[in-house]
Amino acid sequence: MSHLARQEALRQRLTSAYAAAALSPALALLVETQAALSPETARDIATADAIGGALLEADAPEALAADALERVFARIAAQDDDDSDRVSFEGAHGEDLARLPAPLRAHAARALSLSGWKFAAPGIRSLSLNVDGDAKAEILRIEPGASAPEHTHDGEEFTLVLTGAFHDHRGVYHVGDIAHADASVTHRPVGEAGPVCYSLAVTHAPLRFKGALGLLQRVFTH
Amino acid sequence: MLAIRTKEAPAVRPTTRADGAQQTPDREYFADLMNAVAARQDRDAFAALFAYYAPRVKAYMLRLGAGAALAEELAQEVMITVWRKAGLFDRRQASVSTWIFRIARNRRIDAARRAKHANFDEHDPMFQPEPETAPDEAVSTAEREESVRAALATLPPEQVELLKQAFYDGLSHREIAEKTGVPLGTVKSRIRLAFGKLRIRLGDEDGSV
Repeated sequence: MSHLARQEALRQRLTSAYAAAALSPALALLVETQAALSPETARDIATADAIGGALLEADAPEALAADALERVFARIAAQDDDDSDRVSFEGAHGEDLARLPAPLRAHAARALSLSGWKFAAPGIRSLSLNVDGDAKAEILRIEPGASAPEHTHDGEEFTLVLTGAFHDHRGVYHVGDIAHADASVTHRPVGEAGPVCYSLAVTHAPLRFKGALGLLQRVFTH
Repeated sequence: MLAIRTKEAPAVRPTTRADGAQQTPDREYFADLMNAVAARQDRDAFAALFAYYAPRVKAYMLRLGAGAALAEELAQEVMITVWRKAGLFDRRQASVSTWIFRIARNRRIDAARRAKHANFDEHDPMFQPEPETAPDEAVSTAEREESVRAALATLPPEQVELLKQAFYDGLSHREIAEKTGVPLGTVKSRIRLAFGKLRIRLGDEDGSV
């Protein structure tokens, strides 16, 4: 399969699983973010949601508890001064994070104030998002020319490009592209020349690094 | 059936007949109710939306494998979100049903923390790539909504059932194959075919699979 065909197959695979509510929260966030960057994904989700809406109307209702409406009104009253939607981007690269696609912004702001950026490799920093108990979601900031240590993967890794671009031996990944890697892939992502590359990486198992730098990274980040 | 206990409100019509059967929803009417909730936090309008949608959202949650208590809780949470985010509803973008389905689906994803790949078929492009369309030719969101409904109404029942299993019941293609006894490859191609038919009816020149 060509680089482009692989991209398209992966996009469709993720979108259909998202529509069926079959993704982990971290991967669902990745698909929602991609929909903000890719009209095709947005259209596929809109079509699938319209199917879901029509089927919701046709479904046989299941009665709720007799006092369900009263309880909902009581919970609404208790939550009324909730302002958790407000976010601030105080911290390194906050201005860049504030311009990320909408689905990511609140996560990024919270992560910036809680954990902050971590060193990953020269020219590469990561910001861990608190999205999912199982999967790891992080924003990667790769400067032009910066290179991640060569590594392979225990599980699956999905990396959605948000700004700029990076490449590995398989090809170049531009804004909206998703790089997929698993145990069969050993790669060394490198930031392309041009704007800084921000990406959202979702990993379902710890990365296994190869070589001396990888070993150092494991030591530093554990 | 859930009884609506609200004060008399001329704007709100019953959506449940005396015999308990649901009338076909009037989309403009439900959109008006949403706007009433957004504009003036209209509790009667919300109660009418609740009476129609909360039991359906609960049914959806049960389909996706939630137990009765969790389905009840999630249905209530979805309706709380409907109240809080009512201002974001845009009738030009989607019907109330589609909008609430989206909230319910996303709430289920957040709550489920399902096994990462439970419903995740390898290398299975269900959605066909769309040909490039000029912006002024592109189907608007509202038109898509209408077209999907019209197409669903004319698809053979077995194809509607397949789309329902894949998009609504949250079954993987493998689970559908096991449930129906149809070979996995056939399930995949039939779902592609049914989704492709919706695409054709949406006006794409190339609806091929």
